[in-house]
Amino acid sequence: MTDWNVLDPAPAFVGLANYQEALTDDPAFIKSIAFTLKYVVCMVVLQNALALILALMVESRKKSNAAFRTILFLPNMISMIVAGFIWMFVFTRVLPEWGRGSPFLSLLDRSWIGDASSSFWAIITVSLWGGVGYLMVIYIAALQGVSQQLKDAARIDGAGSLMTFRAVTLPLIMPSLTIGVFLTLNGSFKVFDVVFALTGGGPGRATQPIALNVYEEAFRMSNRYGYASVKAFILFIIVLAITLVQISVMKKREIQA
Amino acid sequence: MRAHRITDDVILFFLVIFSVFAVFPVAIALLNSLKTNGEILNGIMNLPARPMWRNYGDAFIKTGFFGALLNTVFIASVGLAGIVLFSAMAGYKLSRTRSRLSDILFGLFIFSMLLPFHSYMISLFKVVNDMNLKNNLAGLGFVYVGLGVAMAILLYHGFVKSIPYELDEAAWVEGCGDFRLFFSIIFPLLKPITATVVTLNLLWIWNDFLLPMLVLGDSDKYTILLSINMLFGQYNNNDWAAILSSLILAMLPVIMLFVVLQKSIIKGISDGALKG
Repeated sequence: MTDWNVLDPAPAFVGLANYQEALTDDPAFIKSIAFTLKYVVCMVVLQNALALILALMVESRKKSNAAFRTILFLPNMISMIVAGFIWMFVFTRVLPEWGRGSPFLSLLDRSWIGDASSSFWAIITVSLWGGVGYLMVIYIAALQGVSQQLKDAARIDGAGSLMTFRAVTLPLIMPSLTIGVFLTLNGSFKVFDVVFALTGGGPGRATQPIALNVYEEAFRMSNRYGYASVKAFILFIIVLAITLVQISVMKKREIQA
Repeated sequence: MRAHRITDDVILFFLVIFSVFAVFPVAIALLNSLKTNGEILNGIMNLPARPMWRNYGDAFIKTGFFGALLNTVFIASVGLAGIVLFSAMAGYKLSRTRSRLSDILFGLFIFSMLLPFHSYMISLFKVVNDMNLKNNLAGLGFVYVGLGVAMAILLYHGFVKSIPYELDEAAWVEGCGDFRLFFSIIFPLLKPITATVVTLNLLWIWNDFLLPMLVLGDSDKYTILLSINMLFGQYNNNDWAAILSSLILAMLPVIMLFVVLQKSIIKGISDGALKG
C-alpha cells in the first residue's frame, strides 16, 4: 500500500490507490488476469482428463504398463525452461518445415509463437506435455488402490467396463481427483517458466500471465515494488478463493469406501 | 473375447501415439544437436553427414557447464540438508505434542503452502537483499530451506503417527535424552518418508528457475538453467546447433537421476500427493 520503488528509500503510504490503479487503470494487468484464467481453465480440464485417460490405458496393459508409465512420465523430469526452448525449436523450425514439405500439412506452416491465439495453444501444448505425467502417476497409484473384488462384483452384476468405471472406480478415486485438480489449479495460476521460455509473454503482451506481469513490473520495467506487490496480492486472493471453493466442493463429493 | 482384443489394440495404438509425442521433442533436439547449422536448415529430419560431437564440447564451455552443475548441486545439497533436518525434527515434535499451540503452529505451516510464490517474491527479494544473501549460493540454499519446510513437515507429521509412542517411552525409561532419542531411534525409522521428501524437493530445487534468477546475479554463480537462459539470449535463437546441444546437456543430469531413482521418484510423487 505504498509507492515503494527501488530508488526511493522511504516509501510513502498511498492507501488503496495501488489497488485502484491495478483494477481500473492497467489494461496489461487485466489482460494478464484474463489470460491466466483462460489458461487455468484449459489446463485443469485437459490435464486432468488426459492424465486420467492415460492412467486408465496404462493400467489396462498387463506387461507393458511400467514401460509406458516411464516414457509418459519422462517429460515431467525436464525443467519447463529447457522444455520451452526445445519446443520453441519444434514450433519455429520443425512444424513449419513439415508444413512446407507436404500440402496436407500446410496447416502447420505458420508462425506458432508469433500469433496470439496459436501461441496460447502452443503454451497449453507444452504445459500438457510437461505436466500430464505427474498427474498420471498419481492417478495410476489411485487406480491401483481400487480393489479388484469390487470391480469383479460389479461385472458379475452385469455392468460393462464403462459402467464399472462410472459406478465403482470413479467414486473410489474421487479423493485423488480432488488433489489432482488442486495441484493443477495451484500450479497453473502460477504459470511462469514455460511462458518465459516459449513466448516471453508475447507477441506484445498477449500471452502474459499474472506472475510474469508481476515479475516485469517489479524487476524489469518500472521497479515499482509497492505496486507490483499489490498485483501479487491480488493473485494470491484469487488463488486462495478459488482453491478454497474447489476443495470444499470436491470434498463434499467424496465418499467413504 | 474378440472385442476385448480389439479394445486392447486400440489402447495400445493410442499409448504408442502419446509415447511418441512424449519423446519426440527430445529426440528431434538430440538429432539436430549433432548437426551443423547448415544441416539443420537443409532438413530437420535428415541425419547429419557426420555427428558433430564438437557441438557438445562447445556447449560445455559456453555454458560453463561444470561450474553451473557444481553450483546447482551445492544449492540443492544445502537446501535438502536443511529441509530434512529441520522438518524431521519439527514434524516429529509437532506430531507428538498434543496442544493448542502445536496445532496452531502446524496450521501456520500448512497455510503457508497455499501462498503462491509470486505473491511474496518481491518481499522475499528485499529480505534476501537486506541480509546480504544476494549472489550467495549458500544463501539461496537457506531460502529453499525456508520455502521447503512446510510441505516436508506435513509429510513427516503424518508419518510419525505410524511410529508407536511406546518407543519414545521405552527410550525415556532407559534414560535416553530427547536428542538421542530423535537421532538414534526416530530418525532412522523415518527413512521412507525422508526418501520422499528428498526426491520431491530435489526435483523442485533442481528445476526451479525464477528464484535463482532473482537471487544470483553473477554469471559464475549461475545454475544450469540460468546459464542456458543466458546462452539463449545471446544467440538470438539462431545458432540452434549450439542451443540444442546445451539443452541436451542440461537435461542429462535429470535424465540420469530419473534412470537411477525412477522407483523412488514415482513413489515419492504418488505418496506425496495421496498422503499429504
